Amino acid sequence: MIPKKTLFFCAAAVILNWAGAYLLNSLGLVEHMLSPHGNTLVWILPLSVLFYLVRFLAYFLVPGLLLGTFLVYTIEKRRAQLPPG
Amino acid sequence: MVPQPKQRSVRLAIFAGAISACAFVVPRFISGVPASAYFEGDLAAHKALAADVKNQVESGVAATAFHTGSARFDGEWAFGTFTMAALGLGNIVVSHPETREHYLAALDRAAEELVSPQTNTFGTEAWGNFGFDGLPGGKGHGYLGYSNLSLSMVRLVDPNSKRADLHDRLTEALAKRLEESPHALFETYPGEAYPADMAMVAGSIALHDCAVGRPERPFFKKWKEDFSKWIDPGSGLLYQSGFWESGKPAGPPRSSGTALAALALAYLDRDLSKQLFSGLQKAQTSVLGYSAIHEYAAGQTGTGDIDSGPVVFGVSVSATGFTMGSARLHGDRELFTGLYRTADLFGVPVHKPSGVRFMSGGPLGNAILLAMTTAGWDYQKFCKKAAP
Repeated sequence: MIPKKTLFFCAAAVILNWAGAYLLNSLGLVEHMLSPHGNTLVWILPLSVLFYLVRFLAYFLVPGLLLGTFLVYTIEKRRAQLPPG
Repeated sequence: MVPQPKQRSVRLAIFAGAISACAFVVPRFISGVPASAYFEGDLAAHKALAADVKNQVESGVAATAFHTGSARFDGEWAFGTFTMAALGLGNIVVSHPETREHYLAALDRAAEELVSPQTNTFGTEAWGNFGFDGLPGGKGHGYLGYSNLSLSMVRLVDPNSKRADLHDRLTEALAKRLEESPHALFETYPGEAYPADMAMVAGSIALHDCAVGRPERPFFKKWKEDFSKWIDPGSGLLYQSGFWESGKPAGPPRSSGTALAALALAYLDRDLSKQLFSGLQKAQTSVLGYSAIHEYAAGQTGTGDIDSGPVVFGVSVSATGFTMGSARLHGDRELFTGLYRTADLFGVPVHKPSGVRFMSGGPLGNAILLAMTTAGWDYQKFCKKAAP
């Protein structure tokens, strides 16, 4: 069975990394950090931390997760095709 | 069906192996791909990075972008943005002369901002007088080495610059102050002297002389000998600050100042620049192909400040960024690529039809990255005399 949850997680991490970069860029992350007005830091800081967490997952975890999933899926599929015994 | 314990441990081993192998190979590849284009001087890559910097300078946004709560830091950062923008855009022009017309207006605007009373407010407040008043007389104002280096770069690509006279007078003033300094140092601010700033002053004079065709000044021989005493023999790093009258260090040797000095001294003395770069090579560290530079020499610790930026796990943002420039200058492709990967991971390049912008860089970070990824020796082709 194709591990849909893993693939969904990987796709979400990659898309959020890509979209988050554009979102924070258009929101002016650095500009808000340098000149915080009102409650700006309340939302921009957690958003930045969340973005970098997703970025690290997308870079360092997702490729291996995809490869591992592919290997396990292939091995188990072949094993299932083998005659019993 | 629930996997058997043996099956589960095999699965775990496969995942652990796959994640480890991919973490070692994939991220370094993704982050490292653009580094080749920058290292090799690909015009399209440099123009894409320059687009946002040019826009920030021409629109005047950079002049008012900083509100840190400290007037001095706001001013220094705006000042730094214009300095790095002028160096970066100038580097592109000297490497690709056909781009001269495209960048001339932005270069002129950066120069205009660098000599304006508004951008220099931080220095005026520290000294009680505007650094450009009474030239070539005056004393101190060592931070003007940065503006003078930018003016020299603008002069190099635009010999008929409308600020040529001011540039000449500023250069003469700085040369006089440097020549009269007892230990290769004069004050940046009252009571504060920094060897890296003096490297900037010296580099700016050398680039001015290159632009106008003046032979190397005789005092430089002794100045270089005196300046070398500010290099810590153990670490190869430059002392960050010093007492100009006694010649004694006022702070530890640090990489952020060393990296800036290595860049600036490339305009005066290739060997001295290389010597400082060797210290930076020793201060590098690398994890999974992502390189960074330790701010303090081995066995020493310290915190971050306005010079270094944040120091995390001992490595500093400024030293890491600035070392990219001297790595390119001195042909260390591996270090350049490793440092670029780090800039790519944390800086987050955002691609748009108009160009590339590093999301977390802001105006200053993007201008620094432009200046560092374009640093090179092509300026020598524009010198009116033999290159140093």
